[in-house]
Amino acid sequence: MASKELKNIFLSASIPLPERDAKYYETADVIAIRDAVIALCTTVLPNHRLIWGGHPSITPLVNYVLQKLNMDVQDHVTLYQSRFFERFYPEDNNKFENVILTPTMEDRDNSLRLMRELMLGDKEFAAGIFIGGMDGVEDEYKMFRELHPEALIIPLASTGAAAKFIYENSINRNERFQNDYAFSSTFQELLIDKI
Amino acid sequence: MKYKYQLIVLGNLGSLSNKVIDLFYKKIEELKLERDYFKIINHGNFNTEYSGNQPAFAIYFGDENGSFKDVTITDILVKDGTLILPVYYTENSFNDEIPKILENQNGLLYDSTKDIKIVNLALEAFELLRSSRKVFVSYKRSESSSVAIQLYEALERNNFDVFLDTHSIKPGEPFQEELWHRMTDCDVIVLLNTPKFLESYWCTEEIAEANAKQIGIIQLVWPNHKLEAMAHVCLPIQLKDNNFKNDVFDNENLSKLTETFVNDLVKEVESMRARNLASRQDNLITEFTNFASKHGKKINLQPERFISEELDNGKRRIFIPTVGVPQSVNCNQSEEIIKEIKDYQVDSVHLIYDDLKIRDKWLDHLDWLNGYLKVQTIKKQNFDEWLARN
Repeated sequence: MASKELKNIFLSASIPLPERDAKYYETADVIAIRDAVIALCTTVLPNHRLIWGGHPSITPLVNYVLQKLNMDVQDHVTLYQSRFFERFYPEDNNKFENVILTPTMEDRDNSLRLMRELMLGDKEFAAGIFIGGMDGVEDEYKMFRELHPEALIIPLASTGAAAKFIYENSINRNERFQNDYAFSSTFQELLIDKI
Repeated sequence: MKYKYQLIVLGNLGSLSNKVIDLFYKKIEELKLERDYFKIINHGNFNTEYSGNQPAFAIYFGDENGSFKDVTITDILVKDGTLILPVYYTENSFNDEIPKILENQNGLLYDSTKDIKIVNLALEAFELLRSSRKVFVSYKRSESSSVAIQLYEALERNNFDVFLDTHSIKPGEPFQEELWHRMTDCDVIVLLNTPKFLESYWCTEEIAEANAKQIGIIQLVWPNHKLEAMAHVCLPIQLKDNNFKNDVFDNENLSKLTETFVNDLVKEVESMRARNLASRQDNLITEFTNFASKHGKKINLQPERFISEELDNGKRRIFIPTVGVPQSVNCNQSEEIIKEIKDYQVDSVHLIYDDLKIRDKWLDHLDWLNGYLKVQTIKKQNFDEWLARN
Protein backbone atom coordinates (compact mmCIF):
# COMPACT_ATOMS: atom_id res chain seq x y z
CA MET A 1 0.00 0.00 0.00
CA ALA A 2 1.24 3.48 -0.80
CA SER A 3 2.44 5.34 2.25
CA LYS A 4 -0.50 7.19 3.62
CA GLU A 5 -0.64 9.87 6.19
CA LEU A 6 -0.75 8.69 9.78
CA LYS A 7 -3.48 10.70 11.45
CA ASN A 8 -3.54 11.50 15.15
CA ILE A 9 -6.49 10.24 17.13
CA PHE A 10 -6.93 11.27 20.73
CA LEU A 11 -8.38 8.83 23.27
CA SER A 12 -9.77 10.06 26.55
CA ALA A 13 -11.08 7.28 28.80
CA SER A 14 -11.20 6.04 32.36
CA ILE A 15 -13.31 3.88 34.64
CA PRO A 16 -15.55 5.76 37.11
CA LEU A 17 -15.18 4.59 40.69
CA PRO A 18 -17.98 4.28 43.26
CA GLU A 19 -16.17 6.31 45.92
CA ARG A 20 -15.74 9.29 43.60
CA ASP A 21 -18.46 11.55 42.17
CA ALA A 22 -21.65 9.44 42.01
CA LYS A 23 -22.96 11.25 38.93
CA TYR A 24 -20.36 9.43 36.84
CA TYR A 25 -20.56 6.02 38.49
CA GLU A 26 -24.36 5.80 38.29
CA THR A 27 -24.50 5.66 34.50
CA ALA A 28 -21.15 3.99 33.83
CA ASP A 29 -21.19 0.71 31.94
CA VAL A 30 -17.78 -0.76 32.64
CA ILE A 31 -18.23 -3.64 30.18
CA ALA A 32 -19.05 -1.13 27.43
CA ILE A 33 -15.99 0.99 28.37
CA ARG A 34 -13.80 -2.10 28.19
CA ASP A 35 -15.22 -3.19 24.83
CA ALA A 36 -15.08 0.31 23.34
CA VAL A 37 -11.42 0.85 24.26
CA ILE A 38 -10.45 -2.52 22.80
CA ALA A 39 -12.49 -1.95 19.63
CA LEU A 40 -10.97 1.52 19.20
CA CYS A 41 -7.43 0.16 19.47
CA THR A 42 -8.22 -2.65 17.07
CA THR A 43 -9.60 -0.31 14.42
CA VAL A 44 -7.19 2.61 14.86
CA LEU A 45 -3.77 1.04 15.48
CA PRO A 46 -3.28 -0.64 12.09
CA ASN A 47 -3.80 2.65 10.20
CA HIS A 48 -3.46 5.67 12.46
CA ARG A 49 -1.81 6.96 15.61
CA LEU A 50 -3.49 6.74 19.00
CA ILE A 51 -2.49 9.34 21.58
CA TRP A 52 -3.62 9.21 25.19
CA GLY A 53 -2.68 10.31 28.70
CA GLY A 54 -2.12 6.84 30.05
CA HIS A 55 -4.56 5.97 32.76
CA PRO A 56 -3.12 2.90 34.52
CA SER A 57 -6.19 0.76 33.81
CA ILE A 58 -6.54 1.75 30.13
CA THR A 59 -2.88 1.47 29.08
CA PRO A 60 -2.67 -2.34 29.60
CA LEU A 61 -5.64 -2.81 27.26
CA VAL A 62 -3.91 -0.80 24.52
CA ASN A 63 -0.80 -2.84 25.07
CA TYR A 64 -2.68 -6.13 24.89
CA VAL A 65 -4.23 -5.24 21.53
CA LEU A 66 -0.90 -3.98 20.23
CA GLN A 67 0.76 -7.32 21.08
CA LYS A 68 -2.10 -9.33 19.58
CA LEU A 69 -2.11 -7.37 16.32
CA ASN A 70 1.34 -8.70 15.66
CA MET A 71 2.22 -5.66 13.54
CA ASP A 72 5.21 -3.39 13.77
CA VAL A 73 3.27 -0.28 14.65
CA GLN A 74 5.10 1.16 17.68
CA ASP A 75 5.02 4.55 15.95
CA HIS A 76 1.21 4.28 15.98
CA VAL A 77 1.03 4.86 19.73
CA THR A 78 2.08 7.82 21.80
CA LEU A 79 1.56 7.69 25.52
CA TYR A 80 1.72 10.85 27.61
CA GLN A 81 2.37 10.59 31.30
CA SER A 82 2.98 13.22 33.94
CA ARG A 83 5.98 12.59 36.15
CA PHE A 84 3.72 13.54 39.04
CA PHE A 85 2.31 9.98 38.88
CA GLU A 86 5.69 8.34 38.34
CA ARG A 87 5.37 5.88 41.19
CA PHE A 88 1.97 4.70 39.92
CA TYR A 89 3.03 4.00 36.34
CA PRO A 90 1.85 0.59 35.18
CA GLU A 91 4.61 -1.71 34.00
CA ASP A 92 3.05 -1.61 30.54
CA ASN A 93 4.46 1.88 30.07
CA ASN A 94 7.83 0.25 29.36
CA LYS A 95 6.36 -1.68 26.48
CA PHE A 96 5.78 1.40 24.36
CA GLU A 97 8.57 3.10 22.48
CA ASN A 98 6.88 6.48 22.45
CA VAL A 99 6.28 7.51 26.03
CA ILE A 100 6.46 11.24 26.68
CA LEU A 101 7.02 12.15 30.30
CA THR A 102 5.90 15.65 31.21
CA PRO A 103 7.31 17.67 34.13
CA THR A 104 5.85 17.72 37.63
CA MET A 105 4.27 20.98 38.74
CA GLU A 106 3.40 22.14 42.26
CA ASP A 107 0.36 19.86 42.55
CA ARG A 108 -1.67 17.13 40.83
CA ASP A 109 -4.06 19.44 38.98
CA ASN A 110 -1.36 21.63 37.50
CA SER A 111 0.80 18.63 36.60
CA LEU A 112 -2.16 17.13 34.76
CA ARG A 113 -2.97 20.41 33.02
CA LEU A 114 0.58 20.72 31.74
CA MET A 115 0.55 17.10 30.54
CA ARG A 116 -2.70 17.75 28.65
CA GLU A 117 -1.42 21.01 27.14
CA LEU A 118 1.69 19.27 25.86
CA MET A 119 -0.29 16.28 24.62
CA LEU A 120 -2.93 18.27 22.78
CA GLY A 121 -1.14 21.49 22.01
CA ASP A 122 1.54 21.09 19.40
CA LYS A 123 0.01 18.76 16.82
CA GLU A 124 -2.95 18.21 14.53
CA PHE A 125 -5.71 15.79 15.52
CA ALA A 126 -8.22 14.20 13.16
CA ALA A 127 -10.53 13.06 15.96
CA GLY A 128 -11.11 12.83 19.71
CA ILE A 129 -12.85 9.80 21.25
CA PHE A 130 -14.43 10.07 24.71
CA ILE A 131 -15.24 6.88 26.60
CA GLY A 132 -16.69 6.54 30.13
CA GLY A 133 -14.59 8.66 32.45
CA MET A 134 -14.98 11.27 35.18
CA ASP A 135 -14.04 14.95 35.49
CA GLY A 136 -10.65 14.31 33.85
CA VAL A 137 -12.36 13.17 30.65
CA GLU A 138 -14.61 16.25 30.74
CA ASP A 139 -11.54 18.50 31.20
CA GLU A 140 -9.80 16.82 28.29
CA TYR A 141 -12.91 17.28 26.14
CA LYS A 142 -13.03 21.02 26.86
CA MET A 143 -9.37 21.51 26.10
CA PHE A 144 -9.55 19.36 22.97
CA ARG A 145 -12.56 21.28 21.61
CA GLU A 146 -10.80 24.59 22.14
CA LEU A 147 -7.55 23.55 20.55
CA HIS A 148 -9.03 21.45 17.72
CA PRO A 149 -12.43 22.86 16.82
CA GLU A 150 -12.37 21.14 13.42
CA ALA A 151 -11.59 17.66 14.69
CA LEU A 152 -14.24 14.93 14.67
CA ILE A 153 -15.66 14.35 18.15
CA ILE A 154 -16.99 10.95 19.18
CA PRO A 155 -18.63 10.98 22.62
CA LEU A 156 -19.54 7.35 23.26
CA ALA A 157 -22.69 7.89 25.33
CA SER A 158 -23.39 4.14 25.54
CA THR A 159 -20.41 3.81 27.89
CA GLY A 160 -22.13 6.22 30.29
CA ALA A 161 -20.42 8.55 32.78
CA ALA A 162 -18.56 11.63 31.44
CA ALA A 163 -18.97 10.49 27.81
CA LYS A 164 -22.74 10.61 28.30
CA PHE A 165 -22.63 14.20 29.58
CA ILE A 166 -20.38 15.18 26.68
CA TYR A 167 -22.76 13.51 24.20
CA GLU A 168 -25.75 15.37 25.62
CA ASN A 169 -24.12 18.73 24.84
CA SER A 170 -22.30 17.72 21.72
CA ILE A 171 -22.85 18.66 18.10
CA ASN A 172 -22.11 15.11 16.97
CA ARG A 173 -25.11 13.27 18.39
CA ASN A 174 -25.25 10.26 16.14
CA GLU A 175 -27.67 7.80 17.76
CA ARG A 176 -25.25 4.96 17.29
CA PHE A 177 -22.98 6.52 19.91
CA GLN A 178 -25.81 6.00 22.36
CA ASN A 179 -27.40 2.72 21.29
CA ASP A 180 -24.93 0.61 19.39
CA TYR A 181 -22.71 -1.71 21.40
CA ALA A 182 -20.95 -3.14 18.35
CA PHE A 183 -18.07 -0.70 18.64
CA SER A 184 -15.72 -1.92 15.90
CA SER A 185 -18.21 -1.34 13.10
CA THR A 186 -19.22 1.97 14.67
CA PHE A 187 -15.60 3.17 14.74
CA GLN A 188 -14.94 1.86 11.25
CA GLU A 189 -17.91 3.69 9.74
CA LEU A 190 -18.06 6.84 11.83
CA LEU A 191 -14.36 7.39 12.49
CA ILE A 192 -11.96 5.60 10.13
CA ASP A 193 -14.12 5.98 7.00
CA LYS A 194 -14.66 9.68 7.80
CA ILE A 195 -11.16 10.98 8.44
CA MET B 1 -29.76 -6.18 39.81
CA LYS B 2 -28.44 -3.80 37.21
CA TYR B 3 -28.54 -6.17 34.22
CA LYS B 4 -31.14 -8.82 33.41
CA TYR B 5 -32.10 -11.24 30.65
CA GLN B 6 -34.83 -9.80 28.44
CA LEU B 7 -37.59 -12.03 27.03
CA ILE B 8 -39.53 -9.94 24.54
CA VAL B 9 -42.98 -10.94 23.30
CA LEU B 10 -44.40 -9.13 20.30
CA GLY B 11 -47.25 -9.32 17.83
CA ASN B 12 -50.50 -11.06 18.60
CA LEU B 13 -50.32 -11.57 22.37
CA GLY B 14 -52.80 -13.54 24.45
CA SER B 15 -53.29 -17.06 25.71
CA LEU B 16 -50.47 -18.53 23.63
CA SER B 17 -47.86 -15.98 24.63
CA ASN B 18 -48.95 -16.34 28.27
CA LYS B 19 -48.60 -20.10 28.05
CA VAL B 20 -45.08 -19.75 26.67
CA ILE B 21 -44.10 -17.28 29.41
CA ASP B 22 -45.47 -19.61 32.10
CA LEU B 23 -43.53 -22.53 30.69
CA PHE B 24 -40.42 -20.36 30.48
CA TYR B 25 -40.66 -19.51 34.18
CA LYS B 26 -41.31 -23.16 35.03
CA LYS B 27 -38.06 -24.10 33.30
CA ILE B 28 -36.28 -21.25 35.06
CA GLU B 29 -37.43 -22.70 38.36
CA GLU B 30 -36.22 -26.16 37.34
CA LEU B 31 -32.85 -24.63 36.58
CA LYS B 32 -32.85 -23.18 40.11
CA LEU B 33 -32.67 -19.63 38.80
CA GLU B 34 -34.63 -16.73 40.22
CA ARG B 35 -37.48 -15.08 38.35
CA ASP B 36 -35.98 -11.76 39.26
CA TYR B 37 -33.06 -12.35 36.84
CA PHE B 38 -35.47 -11.97 33.93
CA LYS B 39 -37.79 -9.34 32.61
CA ILE B 40 -40.67 -9.84 30.25
CA ILE B 41 -40.94 -7.02 27.75
CA ASN B 42 -43.84 -6.21 25.44
CA HIS B 43 -45.06 -3.08 23.64
CA GLY B 44 -46.35 -1.67 26.93
CA ASN B 45 -42.99 -1.42 28.66
CA PHE B 46 -40.55 -1.56 25.75
CA ASN B 47 -39.59 2.11 25.85
CA THR B 48 -38.88 2.15 29.56
CA GLU B 49 -37.47 -1.36 30.08
CA TYR B 50 -35.61 -2.52 26.99
CA SER B 51 -31.88 -1.92 26.81
CA GLY B 52 -29.44 -2.88 24.06
CA ASN B 53 -26.71 -3.80 26.53
CA GLN B 54 -28.48 -6.83 27.99
CA PRO B 55 -29.17 -10.20 26.39
CA ALA B 56 -32.50 -10.40 24.60
CA PHE B 57 -34.62 -13.01 22.89
CA ALA B 58 -37.78 -11.97 21.07
CA ILE B 59 -40.75 -14.05 20.01
CA TYR B 60 -43.00 -12.55 17.34
CA PHE B 61 -46.45 -14.16 17.49
CA GLY B 62 -47.96 -13.88 14.02
CA ASP B 63 -51.47 -12.88 13.13
CA GLU B 64 -53.76 -15.02 10.98
CA ASN B 65 -55.55 -11.92 9.73
CA GLY B 66 -52.34 -10.16 8.78
CA SER B 67 -52.89 -7.33 11.24
CA PHE B 68 -49.31 -6.76 12.34
CA LYS B 69 -48.47 -5.10 15.62
CA ASP B 70 -45.13 -3.90 17.01
CA VAL B 71 -43.42 -3.44 13.65
CA THR B 72 -41.45 -0.39 14.85
CA ILE B 73 -40.15 -2.30 17.87
CA THR B 74 -39.25 -5.24 15.64
CA ASP B 75 -37.26 -2.89 13.43
CA ILE B 76 -35.27 -1.60 16.42
CA LEU B 77 -34.56 -5.17 17.53
CA VAL B 78 -33.39 -6.24 14.07
CA LYS B 79 -30.94 -3.31 14.03
CA ASP B 80 -29.68 -4.24 17.49
CA GLY B 81 -28.91 -7.77 16.37
CA THR B 82 -31.55 -9.34 18.62
CA LEU B 83 -32.57 -12.96 18.09
CA ILE B 84 -36.19 -13.01 16.90
CA LEU B 85 -38.33 -16.11 16.49
CA PRO B 86 -41.43 -15.65 14.32
CA VAL B 87 -44.27 -18.03 15.26
CA TYR B 88 -46.99 -18.73 12.69
CA TYR B 89 -49.92 -21.11 12.66
CA THR B 90 -50.87 -22.32 9.19
CA GLU B 91 -48.65 -24.33 6.90
CA ASN B 92 -47.33 -22.31 3.95
CA SER B 93 -48.82 -19.11 5.38
CA PHE B 94 -45.67 -17.62 6.90
CA ASN B 95 -45.85 -14.58 4.63
CA ASP B 96 -49.51 -13.93 5.46
CA GLU B 97 -49.08 -14.24 9.20
CA ILE B 98 -45.68 -12.61 9.78
CA PRO B 99 -44.73 -8.99 8.89
CA LYS B 100 -42.48 -8.40 5.91
CA ILE B 101 -39.59 -7.15 8.02
CA LEU B 102 -39.14 -10.75 9.25
CA GLU B 103 -39.68 -12.42 5.86
CA ASN B 104 -36.31 -14.13 5.76
CA GLN B 105 -36.28 -15.30 9.37
CA ASN B 106 -36.67 -18.98 10.06
CA GLY B 107 -40.13 -19.24 11.55
CA LEU B 108 -41.71 -21.86 13.73
CA LEU B 109 -44.94 -23.46 12.54
CA TYR B 110 -46.91 -23.71 15.74
CA ASP B 111 -48.76 -26.62 17.25
CA SER B 112 -49.13 -27.36 20.94
CA THR B 113 -46.09 -29.65 20.98
CA LYS B 114 -43.91 -26.65 20.07
CA ASP B 115 -44.19 -24.72 23.34
CA ILE B 116 -41.14 -26.43 24.75
CA LYS B 117 -39.17 -25.84 21.57
CA ILE B 118 -39.86 -22.08 21.80
CA VAL B 119 -38.80 -22.02 25.45
CA ASN B 120 -35.66 -24.04 24.71
CA LEU B 121 -34.61 -21.56 22.05
CA ALA B 122 -34.96 -18.74 24.58
CA LEU B 123 -32.99 -20.68 27.20
CA GLU B 124 -30.24 -21.41 24.67
CA ALA B 125 -30.08 -17.77 23.65
CA PHE B 126 -29.41 -16.91 27.30
CA GLU B 127 -27.02 -19.87 27.65
CA LEU B 128 -28.64 -20.92 30.90
CA LEU B 129 -27.68 -24.56 31.00
CA ARG B 130 -25.27 -25.15 33.82
CA SER B 131 -22.40 -26.27 31.61
CA SER B 132 -22.32 -22.85 29.96
CA ARG B 133 -22.51 -20.91 33.22
CA LYS B 134 -18.83 -20.99 34.14
CA VAL B 135 -17.56 -18.79 36.93
CA PHE B 136 -14.05 -18.64 38.36
CA VAL B 137 -13.26 -17.73 41.93
CA SER B 138 -9.62 -16.74 42.19
CA TYR B 139 -7.97 -16.20 45.57
CA LYS B 140 -4.78 -16.40 47.55
CA ARG B 141 -4.75 -19.47 49.71
CA SER B 142 -2.92 -17.90 52.63
CA GLU B 143 -5.41 -15.02 52.78
CA SER B 144 -8.95 -16.10 51.89
CA SER B 145 -9.46 -19.88 51.65
CA SER B 146 -12.58 -20.06 53.78
CA VAL B 147 -14.33 -17.28 51.88
CA ALA B 148 -13.42 -18.87 48.53
CA ILE B 149 -14.98 -22.16 49.61
CA GLN B 150 -18.05 -20.37 50.91
CA LEU B 151 -18.52 -18.62 47.53
CA TYR B 152 -17.90 -21.85 45.64
CA GLU B 153 -20.78 -23.49 47.49
CA ALA B 154 -23.13 -20.51 47.15
CA LEU B 155 -22.52 -20.17 43.41
CA GLU B 156 -22.91 -23.93 42.85
CA ARG B 157 -26.26 -23.80 44.62
CA ASN B 158 -27.29 -21.11 42.15
CA ASN B 159 -26.54 -23.32 39.17
CA PHE B 160 -23.15 -21.92 38.23
CA ASP B 161 -20.38 -24.22 37.08
CA VAL B 162 -17.72 -22.98 39.50
CA PHE B 163 -13.96 -23.34 39.31
CA LEU B 164 -11.89 -22.58 42.36
CA ASP B 165 -8.58 -21.25 41.27
CA THR B 166 -6.14 -22.06 44.03
CA HIS B 167 -3.18 -20.61 42.30
CA SER B 168 -0.16 -22.72 42.81
CA ILE B 169 2.24 -20.77 40.62
CA LYS B 170 4.95 -18.60 42.05
CA PRO B 171 5.52 -14.95 41.23
CA GLY B 172 7.42 -14.55 37.99
CA GLU B 173 6.34 -17.87 36.54
CA PRO B 174 4.21 -17.68 33.40
CA PHE B 175 0.50 -17.71 33.97
CA GLN B 176 -0.86 -21.20 33.55
CA GLU B 177 -1.74 -21.95 29.97
CA GLU B 178 -4.19 -24.54 31.20
CA LEU B 179 -5.96 -21.96 33.31
CA TRP B 180 -6.53 -19.72 30.29
CA HIS B 181 -7.82 -22.71 28.40
CA ARG B 182 -10.40 -23.34 31.09
CA MET B 183 -11.30 -19.67 31.26
CA THR B 184 -11.95 -19.22 27.54
CA ASP B 185 -15.67 -19.87 27.84
CA CYS B 186 -16.10 -18.36 31.27
CA ASP B 187 -18.30 -15.29 31.74
CA VAL B 188 -17.30 -14.03 35.15
CA ILE B 189 -14.25 -14.13 37.40
CA VAL B 190 -14.59 -13.22 41.05
CA LEU B 191 -11.25 -12.04 42.41
CA LEU B 192 -10.82 -12.07 46.17
CA ASN B 193 -8.58 -9.06 46.29
CA THR B 194 -6.80 -9.44 49.61
CA PRO B 195 -3.73 -7.25 50.30
CA LYS B 196 -1.16 -9.56 48.64
CA PHE B 197 -3.43 -11.01 45.98
CA LEU B 198 -2.62 -8.93 42.92
CA GLU B 199 1.04 -8.47 43.59
CA SER B 200 1.55 -12.20 43.90
CA TYR B 201 -0.70 -13.48 41.21
CA TRP B 202 -2.99 -11.64 38.88
CA CYS B 203 -0.82 -8.91 37.51
CA THR B 204 -1.51 -6.24 34.94
CA GLU B 205 -1.20 -8.54 31.92
CA GLU B 206 -3.63 -11.10 33.24
CA ILE B 207 -6.24 -8.48 34.09
CA ALA B 208 -5.84 -6.98 30.60
CA GLU B 209 -6.05 -10.38 28.96
CA ALA B 210 -9.19 -11.34 30.87
CA ASN B 211 -10.74 -8.02 29.83
CA ALA B 212 -9.73 -8.43 26.21
CA LYS B 213 -11.16 -11.95 26.26
CA GLN B 214 -14.41 -10.39 27.45
CA ILE B 215 -14.58 -12.06 30.82
CA GLY B 216 -16.40 -9.92 33.37
CA ILE B 217 -14.38 -9.25 36.52
CA ILE B 218 -15.87 -8.72 39.95
CA GLN B 219 -13.41 -7.77 42.65
CA LEU B 220 -14.13 -8.19 46.32
CA VAL B 221 -11.69 -5.73 47.85
CA TRP B 222 -10.80 -6.64 51.42
CA PRO B 223 -11.45 -4.13 54.23
CA ASN B 224 -7.73 -3.64 54.84
CA HIS B 225 -7.02 -3.07 51.16
CA LYS B 226 -7.75 -0.64 48.32
CA LEU B 227 -8.37 -1.39 44.65
CA GLU B 228 -5.20 -1.01 42.57
CA ALA B 229 -5.44 1.64 39.82
CA MET B 230 -4.30 -0.79 37.14
CA ALA B 231 -7.22 -3.07 38.00
CA HIS B 232 -10.06 -0.56 37.65
CA VAL B 233 -11.65 -2.34 34.68
CA CYS B 234 -14.01 -4.39 36.83
CA LEU B 235 -16.99 -4.18 39.13
CA PRO B 236 -15.31 -3.33 42.45
CA ILE B 237 -17.02 -4.13 45.73
CA GLN B 238 -15.23 -2.61 48.70
CA LEU B 239 -15.82 -4.89 51.68
CA LYS B 240 -16.38 -3.57 55.18
CA ASP B 241 -15.71 -5.38 58.48
CA ASN B 242 -19.42 -5.97 58.97
CA ASN B 243 -19.75 -7.85 55.68
CA PHE B 244 -17.99 -10.65 57.58
CA LYS B 245 -19.44 -12.84 60.29
CA ASN B 246 -18.31 -11.45 63.65
CA ASP B 247 -16.31 -8.84 61.71
CA VAL B 248 -13.49 -11.34 61.23
CA PHE B 249 -12.00 -10.67 57.81
CA ASP B 250 -8.37 -11.63 58.23
CA ASN B 251 -8.41 -15.29 59.17
CA GLU B 252 -7.82 -17.36 56.03
CA ASN B 253 -9.47 -20.43 57.54
CA LEU B 254 -12.28 -18.96 59.61
CA SER B 255 -13.43 -15.75 57.95
CA LYS B 256 -16.87 -16.02 56.35
CA LEU B 257 -19.02 -13.44 54.65
CA THR B 258 -22.53 -12.85 55.99
CA GLU B 259 -25.44 -14.66 54.32
CA THR B 260 -26.99 -11.37 53.20
CA PHE B 261 -23.79 -10.29 51.52
CA VAL B 262 -23.35 -13.64 49.77
CA ASN B 263 -26.94 -13.57 48.48
CA ASP B 264 -26.42 -10.09 47.08
CA LEU B 265 -23.13 -11.14 45.53
CA VAL B 266 -24.76 -14.09 43.73
CA LYS B 267 -27.14 -11.56 42.14
CA GLU B 268 -24.21 -9.36 41.11
CA VAL B 269 -22.53 -12.35 39.49
CA GLU B 270 -25.72 -13.11 37.56
CA SER B 271 -26.06 -9.47 36.54
CA MET B 272 -22.44 -9.33 35.36
CA ARG B 273 -22.96 -12.58 33.48
CA ALA B 274 -26.02 -11.19 31.68
CA ARG B 275 -24.18 -7.99 30.73
CA ASN B 276 -21.16 -9.89 29.55
CA LEU B 277 -23.18 -12.37 27.51
CA ALA B 278 -24.75 -9.45 25.63
CA SER B 279 -21.27 -8.00 25.11
CA ARG B 280 -19.97 -11.24 23.60
CA GLN B 281 -22.92 -11.49 21.26
CA ASP B 282 -22.61 -7.84 20.17
CA ASN B 283 -18.90 -8.29 19.68
CA LEU B 284 -19.39 -10.91 17.02
CA ILE B 285 -22.97 -11.04 15.74
CA THR B 286 -23.93 -7.36 15.80
CA GLU B 287 -20.51 -6.37 14.46
CA PHE B 288 -20.96 -8.75 11.55
CA THR B 289 -24.53 -7.67 10.78
CA ASN B 290 -23.50 -3.97 11.02
CA PHE B 291 -20.67 -4.45 8.54
CA ALA B 292 -22.97 -6.49 6.31
CA SER B 293 -25.59 -3.70 6.24
CA LYS B 294 -22.84 -1.21 5.45
CA HIS B 295 -22.08 -3.27 2.35
CA GLY B 296 -25.76 -3.61 1.41
CA LYS B 297 -26.03 -7.33 2.18
CA LYS B 298 -29.41 -8.97 2.77
CA ILE B 299 -28.63 -10.45 6.14
CA ASN B 300 -30.79 -12.19 8.72
CA LEU B 301 -29.92 -13.21 12.22
CA GLN B 302 -31.74 -16.47 12.77
CA PRO B 303 -33.26 -17.36 16.15
CA GLU B 304 -30.80 -20.23 16.51
CA ARG B 305 -27.96 -17.72 16.49
CA PHE B 306 -26.51 -18.06 13.07
CA ILE B 307 -26.64 -15.57 10.23
CA SER B 308 -27.98 -16.18 6.75
CA GLU B 309 -27.53 -14.05 3.68
CA GLU B 310 -29.83 -14.01 0.67
CA LEU B 311 -27.77 -13.96 -2.50
CA ASP B 312 -29.00 -12.62 -5.83
CA ASN B 313 -28.85 -16.09 -7.38
CA GLY B 314 -31.45 -17.39 -4.90
CA LYS B 315 -28.88 -19.20 -2.80
CA ARG B 316 -28.01 -18.55 0.83
CA ARG B 317 -24.73 -18.10 2.60
CA ILE B 318 -24.49 -19.16 6.23
CA PHE B 319 -22.30 -17.56 8.89
CA ILE B 320 -21.87 -19.30 12.23
CA PRO B 321 -20.54 -17.16 15.09
CA THR B 322 -18.10 -19.02 17.30
CA VAL B 323 -17.58 -17.74 20.81
CA GLY B 324 -14.79 -19.16 22.91
CA VAL B 325 -13.79 -22.59 21.72
CA PRO B 326 -14.60 -22.54 17.99
CA GLN B 327 -16.26 -25.90 17.43
CA SER B 328 -19.00 -25.41 19.99
CA VAL B 329 -22.25 -25.31 18.07
CA ASN B 330 -25.29 -25.82 20.27
CA CYS B 331 -27.94 -28.40 19.54
CA ASN B 332 -30.83 -26.28 18.23
CA GLN B 333 -28.27 -24.48 16.15
CA SER B 334 -26.81 -27.56 14.48
CA GLU B 335 -30.27 -29.05 13.92
CA GLU B 336 -31.41 -25.88 12.21
CA ILE B 337 -28.23 -25.51 10.17
CA ILE B 338 -28.62 -29.04 8.80
CA LYS B 339 -32.25 -28.27 7.96
CA GLU B 340 -31.18 -25.04 6.32
CA ILE B 341 -28.67 -26.86 4.16
CA LYS B 342 -31.36 -29.34 3.10
CA ASP B 343 -34.17 -26.83 2.53
CA TYR B 344 -32.29 -24.03 0.86
CA GLN B 345 -29.65 -23.90 -1.76
CA VAL B 346 -26.70 -23.17 0.43
CA ASP B 347 -23.86 -21.45 -1.36
CA SER B 348 -21.29 -21.69 1.41
CA VAL B 349 -20.81 -21.98 5.16
CA HIS B 350 -18.46 -19.73 7.14
CA LEU B 351 -17.34 -19.64 10.75
CA ILE B 352 -16.91 -16.12 12.10
CA TYR B 353 -14.76 -15.47 15.16
CA ASP B 354 -12.81 -12.81 17.02
CA ASP B 355 -9.10 -13.52 16.95
CA LEU B 356 -8.51 -11.37 20.06
CA LYS B 357 -10.59 -13.82 22.08
CA ILE B 358 -9.11 -17.08 20.93
CA ARG B 359 -5.87 -18.68 22.00
CA ASP B 360 -3.12 -19.01 19.43
CA LYS B 361 -3.43 -22.79 19.37
CA TRP B 362 -6.99 -22.48 18.10
CA LEU B 363 -6.05 -19.82 15.59
CA ASP B 364 -3.55 -22.23 14.01
CA HIS B 365 -6.22 -24.91 14.00
CA LEU B 366 -8.67 -22.58 12.22
CA ASP B 367 -6.11 -21.63 9.61
CA TRP B 368 -5.52 -25.30 9.04
CA LEU B 369 -9.26 -25.95 8.74
CA ASN B 370 -9.49 -23.21 6.14
CA GLY B 371 -7.21 -25.13 3.85
CA TYR B 372 -9.07 -28.44 4.07
CA LEU B 373 -12.73 -27.88 4.72
CA LYS B 374 -15.50 -26.36 2.72
CA VAL B 375 -16.33 -24.37 5.82
CA GLN B 376 -14.21 -21.23 5.67
CA THR B 377 -13.34 -19.04 8.62
CA ILE B 378 -13.49 -15.21 8.73
CA LYS B 379 -11.77 -13.18 11.44
CA LYS B 380 -13.55 -10.22 12.98
CA GLN B 381 -10.61 -8.05 11.93
CA ASN B 382 -11.41 -8.89 8.30
CA PHE B 383 -15.23 -8.59 8.33
CA ASP B 384 -15.26 -5.22 6.58
CA GLU B 385 -12.78 -6.21 3.92
CA TRP B 386 -14.30 -9.69 3.38
CA LEU B 387 -17.82 -8.32 2.98
CA ALA B 388 -16.55 -5.71 0.53
CA ARG B 389 -14.91 -8.41 -1.59
CA ASN B 390 -17.48 -11.21 -1.42
